[in-house]
Amino acid sequence: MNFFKSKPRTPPDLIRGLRDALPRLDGPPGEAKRKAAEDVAKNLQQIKAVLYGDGEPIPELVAQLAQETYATDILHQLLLSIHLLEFEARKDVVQIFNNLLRRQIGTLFPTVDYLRKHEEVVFAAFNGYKNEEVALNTGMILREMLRHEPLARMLLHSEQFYQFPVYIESTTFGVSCDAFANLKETLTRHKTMVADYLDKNYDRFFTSFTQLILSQNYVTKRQSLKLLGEILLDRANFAVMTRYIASETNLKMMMNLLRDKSKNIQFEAFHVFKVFVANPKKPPQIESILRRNKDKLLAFLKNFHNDKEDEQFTDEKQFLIAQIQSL
Amino acid sequence: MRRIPEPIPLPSSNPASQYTLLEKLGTGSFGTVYKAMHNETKQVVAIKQIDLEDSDDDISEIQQEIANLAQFESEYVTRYYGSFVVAYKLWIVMEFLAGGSCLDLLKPGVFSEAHIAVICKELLQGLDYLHSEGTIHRDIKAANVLLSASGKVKLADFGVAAQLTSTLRHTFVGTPFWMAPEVIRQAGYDAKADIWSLGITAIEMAKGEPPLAEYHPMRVLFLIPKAKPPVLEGAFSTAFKDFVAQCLTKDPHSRPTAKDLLQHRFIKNARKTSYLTELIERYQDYRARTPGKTPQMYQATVRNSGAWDGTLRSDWSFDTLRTSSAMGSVRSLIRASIPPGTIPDEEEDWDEDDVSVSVYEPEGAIDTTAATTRGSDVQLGMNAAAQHSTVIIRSLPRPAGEKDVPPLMTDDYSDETAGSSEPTTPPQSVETSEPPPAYTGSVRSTRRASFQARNNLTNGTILGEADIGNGVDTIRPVKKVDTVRSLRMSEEYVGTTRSREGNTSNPPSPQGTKNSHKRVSGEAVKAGRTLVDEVMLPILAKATRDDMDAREIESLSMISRGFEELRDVNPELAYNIILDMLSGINENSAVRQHIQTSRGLFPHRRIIRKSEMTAKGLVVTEEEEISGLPPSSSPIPPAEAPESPSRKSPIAELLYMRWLEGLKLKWPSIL
Repeated sequence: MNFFKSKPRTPPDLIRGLRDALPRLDGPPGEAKRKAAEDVAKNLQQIKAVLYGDGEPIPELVAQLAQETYATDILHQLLLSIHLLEFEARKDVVQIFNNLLRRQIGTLFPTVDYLRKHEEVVFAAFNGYKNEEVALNTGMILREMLRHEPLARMLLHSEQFYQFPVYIESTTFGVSCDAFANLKETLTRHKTMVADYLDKNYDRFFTSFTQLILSQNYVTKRQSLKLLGEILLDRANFAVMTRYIASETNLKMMMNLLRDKSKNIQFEAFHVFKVFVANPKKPPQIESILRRNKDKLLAFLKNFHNDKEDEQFTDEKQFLIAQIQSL
Repeated sequence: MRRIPEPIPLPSSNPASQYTLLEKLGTGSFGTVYKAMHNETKQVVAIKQIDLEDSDDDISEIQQEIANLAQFESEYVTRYYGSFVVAYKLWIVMEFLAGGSCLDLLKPGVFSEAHIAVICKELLQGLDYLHSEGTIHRDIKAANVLLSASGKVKLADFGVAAQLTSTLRHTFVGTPFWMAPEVIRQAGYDAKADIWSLGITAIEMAKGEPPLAEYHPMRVLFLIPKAKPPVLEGAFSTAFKDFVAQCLTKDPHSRPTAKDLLQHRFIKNARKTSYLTELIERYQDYRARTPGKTPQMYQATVRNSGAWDGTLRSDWSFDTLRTSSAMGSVRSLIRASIPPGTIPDEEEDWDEDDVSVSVYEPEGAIDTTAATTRGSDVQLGMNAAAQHSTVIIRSLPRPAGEKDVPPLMTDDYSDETAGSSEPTTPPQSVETSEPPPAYTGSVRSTRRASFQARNNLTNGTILGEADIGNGVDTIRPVKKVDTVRSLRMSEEYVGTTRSREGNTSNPPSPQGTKNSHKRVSGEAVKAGRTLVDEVMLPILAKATRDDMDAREIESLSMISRGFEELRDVNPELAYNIILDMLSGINENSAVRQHIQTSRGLFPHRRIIRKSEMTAKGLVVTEEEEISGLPPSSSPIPPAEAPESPSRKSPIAELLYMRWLEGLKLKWPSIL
């Protein structure tokens, strides 16, 4: 008999240990705080070990652990104190979240159901962008959440959703890109749900999105323009596209962006501009702008990105030239 | 606990002001690297600047690299501090490693076995860390192994690292010479791919070059999966040779893991990392003795990264006031940094030749999937007036990678330099078009396929020359490669080497030579073609087996390719050469003697054949005879000629008879 091998701690023990240690992190620097960090790290590692197992996780233990996280508010607490954790412990939190979020029983995702009733956890993950230090960790958790339609819908329909541009614009590259990636995830993964939202909130959404397109940050500008092209060209968003391409203001913006200094921005603008031109039922105001600029546009397109070896692009350009010619 | 202050960039309107650039360290495939100082902490850092405007790629790919980097905290991995965007450039702030890369350190000469053992041991520890973190580096090579001043070994350049989920990876990525067979084959790969690359890197450090370095990278991609693994040859210990052999186990399942290899006796006996300072000192001596390679001081002038101003001068006419650009401040900032007069105008119309109006059925939206124009062989047109004066660059052979000048030191970055210092190639006739002078992978000559084109998931991507580059630089990730078409393309490079002198290995242009030979004798022409198609090529194809040495495969491919070309260009000559070879064998009595005894060929055969010829037809007899031969390769082509009688067409039969008659005239003694 081995007296030194301690009995593995049960999931309730682990969660209790973690809940006990987390508040102690927020104290003055010193021995107590160091001990708290150690406890947190140890508990997180053991929780991770239960979830991922050594090759084969034990289903009963995983179920027990998951139940315990739902019964307590530990997920919320973890997100609220993630900035106090050490480097590896933060990564463990991400892995724990991701595992729980993927947990599936038949067609049910128990963690998703739990989060539907606990919005604050989703928004705590979203608020991670306020702190650069943890933003990449919380961003990963958020991305995993957004894979599930109910959670993406929750964020999209919230007032906080319009914080995205703020986060994208006010952070350094890595974080900004991460926020953008999550914005894109929210807007492209669950197409029908998003199409319905965009249709109903057209003005507010595009007012906000236009700010991103006109951003002074090159990366933001280029990425959001590209995303706009993707949104408009998605069949699910047909109604939104029709509205978008009926607006003179939008057309003018794209025509100006076609002449941006950046080649990549010109190119992305082209992929939005083409939709205006290809529209078989152009509203009179659109047609009139195009007609007024017919000669300039033809001359412009003839010299537009001729070094691109992209057959599809060349074809589309020729198509646009033909369309404009026939105006 | 954390190290106290770190040189991390803080979000602000101008994070660049938090650093002072000190010295340019080099230019790689992904950007330029500077030594710099963090003003607040006075810490020296390395800053990699990537021109985002130069890349068609989705920026999220680059962000992925950064997100990955941010996940690592290991003494075996270069530390990442942060990144930010300045105008069109991304600045990535990293740990500065004063020792340089192993590729630098190889410049004064190869490493000793003891040094290599230390480096391999440290690399294995780094790989063990990465693999346990679920990451594959995917681009292990000497250039990506950095040393600190005290000899600590660190992995760098996670440009292509991938998060290893439970499933296998398929993305085609890495640097050809170092790529594992399973990565090239795209059969799915995992962390074991890094172990293969480590084995190649070990050879690189011992020999100065990776195996097959003399071949064209396109061919290497074909040869690595096909040939048997390279072997470390030369005066090395058996432990080292065995270590390399273990790394270069072709089947990834039997290849050891990083953990396994840490127990290898070659690694167990390795010394401490401080021993590596010898290499660093040796390199510093070398640098001091080699003039002209002084580090370049950073020049404050910002290179204009996007000189595409004013594609069209006139403004759009909107009825309202012209919308004033929200980019105003950025634009003026950029404009201020562009020296006057450097803004090229794209006036010429280069489009006329390849304009073919495609027929579209407009149906509301542009159907982005329906693209159909013939893939015209449009040469890469470059605006002569703009950028450089180089005009036509055929996309095929180009003097790739001068091995002697490692990519880190070549300054092919600045447009101005490339434009002014390189001799210009006048646009002469296309046939003689020489590749432009050797500036590797230079700015806009061979463009990489666009992101979309390279990631065409339905058809797969055809890897082109520009994607592969010189084989020394890392390939940008490609999701799915059109293997069949890429391999066909790789055949264009049979026998092509990474030539240092430029244009020695230009594949002959068929158009150019075709007309120069007027066919005289139709019969010899037909016979020559048949001889090549039905005899030479099948024999050579049969002789080529997997598990052969890469060089053997390549030689056979070169012979095949040679016969194919000769068949197209001058079949009569092919015919004559083959017969001359036969008579050459026949006339050399020693050779003949040898063949008689070793393979029991001509004489017996001849006698038997003769006796049966009177009774039945010649052909039939011949076939019966030969079918008894072992089907393995025979160096004497005609002996195998009539093999596989079932497939023979009547015309081939006839030609064969004629050929035999020709043979009789040419070589009376045999029949």
